[in-house]
Amino acid sequence: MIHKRYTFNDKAQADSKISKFFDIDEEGNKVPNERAAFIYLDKFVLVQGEYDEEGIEIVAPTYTEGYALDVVWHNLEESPYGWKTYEVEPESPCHTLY
Amino acid sequence: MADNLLDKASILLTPTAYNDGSMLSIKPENGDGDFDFQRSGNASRVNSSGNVVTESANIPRIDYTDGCGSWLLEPQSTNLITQGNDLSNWSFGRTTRTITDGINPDGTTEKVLVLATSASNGTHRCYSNSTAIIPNEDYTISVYVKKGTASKIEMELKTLSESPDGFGECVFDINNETITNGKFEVFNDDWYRIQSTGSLNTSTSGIIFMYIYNEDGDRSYVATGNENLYLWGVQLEQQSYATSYIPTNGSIATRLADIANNSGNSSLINSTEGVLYAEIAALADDLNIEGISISDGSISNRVVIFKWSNSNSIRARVSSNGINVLNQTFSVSDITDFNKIAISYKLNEFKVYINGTNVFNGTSGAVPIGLNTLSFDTDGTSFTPFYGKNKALAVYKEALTDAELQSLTTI
Repeated sequence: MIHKRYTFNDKAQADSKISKFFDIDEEGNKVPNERAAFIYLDKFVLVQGEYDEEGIEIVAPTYTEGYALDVVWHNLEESPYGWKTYEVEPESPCHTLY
Repeated sequence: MADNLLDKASILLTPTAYNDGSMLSIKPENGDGDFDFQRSGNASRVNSSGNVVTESANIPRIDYTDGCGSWLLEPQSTNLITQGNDLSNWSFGRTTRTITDGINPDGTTEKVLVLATSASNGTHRCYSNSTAIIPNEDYTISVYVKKGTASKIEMELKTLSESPDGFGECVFDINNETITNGKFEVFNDDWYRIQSTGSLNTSTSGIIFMYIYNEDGDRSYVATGNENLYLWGVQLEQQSYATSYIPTNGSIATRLADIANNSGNSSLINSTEGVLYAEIAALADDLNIEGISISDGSISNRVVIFKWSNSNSIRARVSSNGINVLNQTFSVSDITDFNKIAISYKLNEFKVYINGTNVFNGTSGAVPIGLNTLSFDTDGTSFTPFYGKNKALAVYKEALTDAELQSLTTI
């Protein structure tokens, strides 16, 4: 099992990559063809927002760019073909596994 | 379960025994009925003493949240609050955060006391860091709370465009054990876990706000220094319900899904006739299709108890060589309560019993072929897995009598 972190350009690109790991059965269901856990993270907050006492946002937070996706590949030893390009290894990950 | 029904079961699983990577069945004793169990990481549960404890990867969980043990199988979920354990990176408005002696729900002994401090009139609150939110998706906030000198708390997810209310406005009155826009569970040492669910229309970020009310139940007041309560284990998930506690300590964290399958074989599961029985409770009435099955490892031949996509509904399905010979949906009063369900199959004789009532009789149809595996999913391959609580799961190699099916499923 490996836990890899990726940043794609956007969610559509991430979904496109993920879709290759599913087949459609005779009832039209999406059936996984690779044992993996996809963790859709989207964006992380870089700078916190500011709020008044009723929680009204005064200054919006800023976010990381791209679309963050973590994957636990259960039967692979490295990222599959086409994924390595988007792999990231942050020094202080914003997301961990429990 | 009556003695003869216990004797007749070829596979019987109850929440009693497990080891690393297996849920152990009571019958048969040779291990052929044991389930393979996988979870690639830690997960928490409530133990028989009522404490929140962590289990390591691949250790099944018997959970006692409602006081009685049941297998707990959960989906993957992420706690989006980066410091849910001790609120150390939260902001405090007209309040202070103090560490005091005492016991948290997980047995740790440094409690977080939030104390209202300002002498000027206004709300007394604390709030989390911002987190990214996807519009129109369900999110659930949960927190463990204990009465201090204050006994009322409000929590909600706030955003810019949902101004000023966000969703939720969940208000919990500890003294009277009443809650609006949420629900709560009772834990040891006067702790409660409260939760509230909702969705946001347009915002892409949110923060959790918690307000401490004063003794008179006022939301806005001049603090006397005697308004405080204890908080622990804040969680925000993209779910329609709160899952088991996922601790965070500086980053968001994900608990991966539970997988339980590969019990039994063709000598323990009869394709000619038999019964699949389960006592189960769903985690939520979320309309997701999930199921428990005996199958040949495909969707062509199987007997399935589905949690179906209608509210509070169960679907019973028997498929023979790709044809659904039984495919009926039934209502239950509450899918999150434990329900006892049995599907009996035999050539031209199909019956469904739910909670002691015969809800279906079918008099035509072939039986499945090559049944050889029992799984907490719908085809033996981890497809549409069952997530919920399970107190009993049994397979019989014969079609039971009406009296037996009624006895088996009577609550």
